[in-house]
Amino acid sequence: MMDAGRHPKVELLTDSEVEEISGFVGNFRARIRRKARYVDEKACTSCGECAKVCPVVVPDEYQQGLSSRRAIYLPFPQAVPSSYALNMSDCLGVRPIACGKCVEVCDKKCIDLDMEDRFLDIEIGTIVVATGLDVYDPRAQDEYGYTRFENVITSMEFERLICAGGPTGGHLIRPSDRKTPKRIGFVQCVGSRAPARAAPYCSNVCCMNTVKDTLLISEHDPDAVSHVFYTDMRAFGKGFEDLYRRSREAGVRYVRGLPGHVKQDPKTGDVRVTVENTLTGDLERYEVDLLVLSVGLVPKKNGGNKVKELLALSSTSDGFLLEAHPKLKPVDAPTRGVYFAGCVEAPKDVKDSVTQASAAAARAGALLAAGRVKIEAITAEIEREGCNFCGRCARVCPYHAITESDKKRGLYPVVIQAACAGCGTCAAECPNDTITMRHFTDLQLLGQVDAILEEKPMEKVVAFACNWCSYAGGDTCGTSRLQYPPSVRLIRTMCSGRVDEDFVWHAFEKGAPLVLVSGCHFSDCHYISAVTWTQQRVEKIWIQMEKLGMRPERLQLDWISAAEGQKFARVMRQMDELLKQITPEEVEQSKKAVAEFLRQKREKLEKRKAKAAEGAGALAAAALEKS
Amino acid sequence: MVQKLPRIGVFVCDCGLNIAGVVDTAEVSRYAATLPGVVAVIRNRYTCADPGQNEIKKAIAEHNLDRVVIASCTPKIHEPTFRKCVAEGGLNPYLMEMANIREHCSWVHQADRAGATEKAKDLVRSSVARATCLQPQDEAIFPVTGAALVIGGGVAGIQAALDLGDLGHKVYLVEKEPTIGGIMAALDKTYPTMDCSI
Amino acid sequence: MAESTTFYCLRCQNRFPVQYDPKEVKERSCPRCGSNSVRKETPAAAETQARSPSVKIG
Ligand code: SF4
Ligand code: SF4
Ligand SMILES: [Zn+2]
Repeated sequence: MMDAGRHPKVELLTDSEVEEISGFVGNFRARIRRKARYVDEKACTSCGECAKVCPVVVPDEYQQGLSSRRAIYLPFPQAVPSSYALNMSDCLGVRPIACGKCVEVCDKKCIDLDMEDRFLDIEIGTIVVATGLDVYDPRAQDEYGYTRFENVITSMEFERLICAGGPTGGHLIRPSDRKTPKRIGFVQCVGSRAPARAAPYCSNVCCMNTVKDTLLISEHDPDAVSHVFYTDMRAFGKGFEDLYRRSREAGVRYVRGLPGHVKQDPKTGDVRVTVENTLTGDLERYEVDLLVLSVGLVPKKNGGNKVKELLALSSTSDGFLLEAHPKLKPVDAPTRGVYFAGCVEAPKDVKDSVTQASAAAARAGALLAAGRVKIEAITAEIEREGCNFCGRCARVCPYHAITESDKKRGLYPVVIQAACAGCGTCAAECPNDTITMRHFTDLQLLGQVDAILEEKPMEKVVAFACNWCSYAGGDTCGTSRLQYPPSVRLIRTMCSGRVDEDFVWHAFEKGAPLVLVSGCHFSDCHYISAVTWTQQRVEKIWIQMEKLGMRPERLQLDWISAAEGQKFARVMRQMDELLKQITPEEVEQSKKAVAEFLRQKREKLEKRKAKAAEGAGALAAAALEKS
Repeated sequence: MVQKLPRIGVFVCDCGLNIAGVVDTAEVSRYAATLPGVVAVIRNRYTCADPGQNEIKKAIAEHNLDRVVIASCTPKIHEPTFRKCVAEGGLNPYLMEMANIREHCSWVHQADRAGATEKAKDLVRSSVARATCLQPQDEAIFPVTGAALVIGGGVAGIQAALDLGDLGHKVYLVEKEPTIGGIMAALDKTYPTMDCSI
Repeated sequence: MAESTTFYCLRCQNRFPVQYDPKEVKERSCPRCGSNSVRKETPAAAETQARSPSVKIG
């Protein structure tokens, strides 16, 4: 911590929040709000005279509310920067100055109650997101009586009570009568592994944290007995099993089963715990002096979410941020140039956080050291001709890579090449076909459709598969040698979002009996949310198929992850089944209906294009006149 | 789009018996030769191995190829390999296309040789059609601003900032609280070493 | 607001209830055959469904 404050290359911006982020890999810009601290942090010597005179007393967050602090305070003795800070919402008021006692006593005159928020604009090449997480709040699920019983505390509170720097100077006491507890109970998995009620996942750190706590207790007081009520004890890391063994050797009793009932005796203050021991099947009763809830870890609600929005990051179903690839790019965000460190990605302990932070620094450092970035030539390009400023492309781009268009000022949308990831959603959604995907052009993909349907179309299924998931799922299926009938022909696109309605119609016009669109599961989409557009597009086509008298069954949709070789094989078999149900008559019929539909569609497009050209001409003329 | 007829070379890979054990690669090669724009077809035991790659480079020069189609394994493994290979042969790397006749064909239709061979032919035909429309592409290069922003001053943010600083980069470490340290600072001791957290 | 709505599967013709909020674009799958080709049942959809041969998908 101290090192970070001292490092010549590290500019420490505390009391600060990121307000805006723009740009792209290698070329980000950020605006940082430097909130008023009301104390000059460079001048402050932490003498503490100010806090002595401050009349406001509020709970101390650092000590988990177990002691108090003043409105002007030092967060904790080793804080970096080592300077007092004034919390304005606690202060008695400055305008007009109602109190101002601290200002009077500060010899160095470093308190300025008129200080205001400032803004700092910076340019950076890379961003490391390390916004951390929150600790589960057991008030949400009060089955263990945290709000009702004084002697039921959280593991974070326990941490402060046992700490030499804590409110009790490291003497473990219980809240009700300040007596030293001799019998301490720990309840594991509070807020974790409870899909229906709290977080479904394992919070990773609580088992070992409890093991550590029991050892601390036996060090402090060899006579004290600890009981741990657990679901499973998970001691999987380096040195963990050893600690767990030491804890058991120190006499800590591990009871498999979570308490069903907890009650504090109003007279003695002791806590009675009833638990079904799942190893013996017996109902057991325990009496402890203090019960510690081993609370889990939850994704950040406030600050973390703001950064998530600013960077257009997505999260997995558990609320933690989604990495670019769980095995190959575990610290990369899907957005290039952004990396994750620590618990923002998943709950982890200090060691893993540090390890991941170093990994993120290495990834970010490699980018900075290279000094330049190469962008794979699969990006989108907008031709102005035909564009009527509808703005759809900018709205659907998951990366905000397309600039806003403005008809009045003749501002055409432009793809920021470095920000474009090449999903092709814009090209599929542009109603005027004015967007070209380099390396995945309409011509190339339609050429493939034609080639597939040229001979014996009735025996084939035209399938679109995204590069990252469904195509890769097909590879996994192959690697596992799962067998399926050979009727499906895959066409690879980077993302299922690339699959233009017209591709599907084209296939039907050319006599495809069955078309499959496949991509990533929503949570795996490699282009943030592009897959949601795929689904909406397919739903739209289904409706139109019905209008044309076609069975919507002839367009199928599937989400297949790269790992789901089994599902891939199953879908291929199902396609083969479906294919057999489609009659040559209905294909012939729909060929005609679709051809007519497409003819009308093209006619409308021509009209729109002509109008757009007219508009463009008028714009150009206006521009000429002006100059 | 396509001004003159392209000169496509198709390279069909046996992959030892991985492909040739199920798919009749000789038949696929004969078929490929009949496709529009294809001027050379070469069958190889292992196209990705050095001799196979040399064959491609040689054929590019010999037949004046301007597009290359490789019918072999999944592009997810060897697309970078073959892009590099054709670049060394003097072609723009984006003028190479792969047909996946292993993972998506020979390995999954082992009991249906005829069906697998038909499918392989189709996959090659589809790739040749795509290759016909391929255009050379240049990868854009952008400069990188030599500074990093680390958001969050907990243990992870601090470590990342220090490492980046030690690498010699300018770092902005942003923390919304008045002090860095995060949750870790509130812990007494940390496992497994049981030492102080600060 | 999410409401219970009938969806049907375009692969196996299974009909099933779904908590549906038209504003939300969500991933959905058929509880019987696992396909993602599922959609809200409308009068038009019910009509085509009636015309469709029932496919045995397993
Ligand atoms: S291809 Fe995708 S990422 Fe690129 S501009 Fe279009 S929508 Fe955005
Ligand atoms: S016409 Fe196409 S390119 Fe122009 S704004 Fe609309 S979607 Fe974008
Ligand atoms: Zn179904």
